[in-house]
Amino acid sequence: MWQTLTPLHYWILSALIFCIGMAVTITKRNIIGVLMGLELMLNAANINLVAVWNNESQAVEGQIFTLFIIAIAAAESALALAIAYQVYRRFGTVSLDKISAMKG
Amino acid sequence: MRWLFCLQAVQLFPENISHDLWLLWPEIAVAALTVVLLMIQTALDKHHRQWSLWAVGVGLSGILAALAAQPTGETQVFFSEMILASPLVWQFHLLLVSGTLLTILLGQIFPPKPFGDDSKPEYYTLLCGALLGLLLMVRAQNLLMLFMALETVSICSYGLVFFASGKKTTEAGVKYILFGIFSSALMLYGISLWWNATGNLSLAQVSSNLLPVWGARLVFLLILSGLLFKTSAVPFHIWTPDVLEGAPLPVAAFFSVVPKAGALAAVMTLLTPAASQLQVLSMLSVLAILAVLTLIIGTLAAIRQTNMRRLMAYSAIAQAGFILTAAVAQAPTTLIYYLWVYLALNFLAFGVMAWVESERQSQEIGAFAGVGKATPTVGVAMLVAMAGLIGLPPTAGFAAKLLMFSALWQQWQQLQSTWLILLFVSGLAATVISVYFYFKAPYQMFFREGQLLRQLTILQRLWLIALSIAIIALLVLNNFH
Repeated sequence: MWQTLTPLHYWILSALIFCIGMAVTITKRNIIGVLMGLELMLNAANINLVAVWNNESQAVEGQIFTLFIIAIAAAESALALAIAYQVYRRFGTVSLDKISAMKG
Repeated sequence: MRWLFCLQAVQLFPENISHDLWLLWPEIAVAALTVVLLMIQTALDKHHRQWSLWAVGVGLSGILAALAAQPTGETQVFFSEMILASPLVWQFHLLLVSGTLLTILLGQIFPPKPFGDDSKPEYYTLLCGALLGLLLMVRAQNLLMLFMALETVSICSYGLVFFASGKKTTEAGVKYILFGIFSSALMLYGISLWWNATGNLSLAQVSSNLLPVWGARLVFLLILSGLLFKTSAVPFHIWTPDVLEGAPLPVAAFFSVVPKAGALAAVMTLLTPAASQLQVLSMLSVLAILAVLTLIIGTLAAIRQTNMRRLMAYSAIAQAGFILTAAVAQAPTTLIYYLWVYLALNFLAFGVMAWVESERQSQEIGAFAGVGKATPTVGVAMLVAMAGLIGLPPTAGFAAKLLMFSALWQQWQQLQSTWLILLFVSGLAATVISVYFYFKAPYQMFFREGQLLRQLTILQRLWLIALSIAIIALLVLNNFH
């Protein structure tokens, strides 16, 4: 079982990374920390998408999808960092606990 | 001469590509409009930026007119099974373009305060970008296409929140983007599992499925999560009250209706292959449970709100439950009709809210005191809007709810699932309870005293009267599909 890498190994790895990312996203109180968790979640999906490329279908949609995701993740984190900067300017902190102007 | 050359260049492609491009004209037109707006923003100085309003107004009206004049055409899948063209897609396109046009008009007729001409080109650019994503989202037949369209909408929406200033806006924006990326990451993981299980990203063709039932349910739920975020359905509704309170008012009106239409069209697409691959009944029951929760949570949370924006946000969540019900009933024509009515109702209500907010400088429900007595047009318009949102007879809201409940009833007779009956009952209960909170604002307007307000401008009066008439008229036109 441990001699060759099968898709199963990739699935386990990606599931692990996804769970770690989710845990980081939910527990971290710092915006930058949350973003790091989100990035892990996105990349877990990437691993899954490229893992099974050489199965019977020979389809490359998975890899192409991964390229798209990398571009999207870059765009999203650029925007999120800009917003984090705005938050810092307005609230003087990037801790999610201290950002609460609204209730209800 | 140059045009001729372009036409020849198109001919050089294989025939089906040039044919496919023609079918994609609404998206191409909106993309071109977005680029033009971006050019205006960079090329013109501050004093000439009002041209962006003309560009976006003429452009979108032109696209809407061309869509309306276009024959509906037949159902076909093109661009290597990526994109669908069908009469239903055409109806969704009409709805989405009208919604965006109404958003721009709302911002123009009831100008929100921190909304100078300076930032207008950026605002229109992002709005058109979101529209582009939505147009693609309703016709995506491939999970890659669907995800790309969804992200186009999301990234533009994150920016749109920031066209107001203040702490509330910043908080709303940061909650929106973090929550948005989280839900799209869940969706993406679902897509990657789907890809591993079927070796295929297409929603148009049936492929083998290696998943057990619980796995199929999990994948369906994960893929759904990105769409539920856009629909503001439970459990992805948490952003809605904050964003609708903190965002500029026209943007809040946009968020409460237009992305919902796109997301629901995608949910319907997702249910089609799910019907063959992922056991239709179990998927519909998953969706029915989510709809029940959305209805209950939206309605109950709306009861104790004192801020009008937050009340409308929870109302938007409850309405998302009703819209999901139409998807559970798998009745696309009813869904479209419901969305048209909801679009008119919400933009009427947000018009009144915009006027009261700018007059009284407050979002509280108490700010509506005496408005109905001082300016009856506003009072009657709000009454019509709220009666419509409840679903009372003289308005089209009644017909929309009636059609939806009867569609659900038919679906129940076909499938005999207990969850559908539960959904039916909670829909009725939510409608009854909603009478209480929807009439809070009209009550303040007519039975409380308040000092006299400034007169409405002609355009504002026209906006309120036209939408009120549209809401009554849609009742008569309910068999237009």
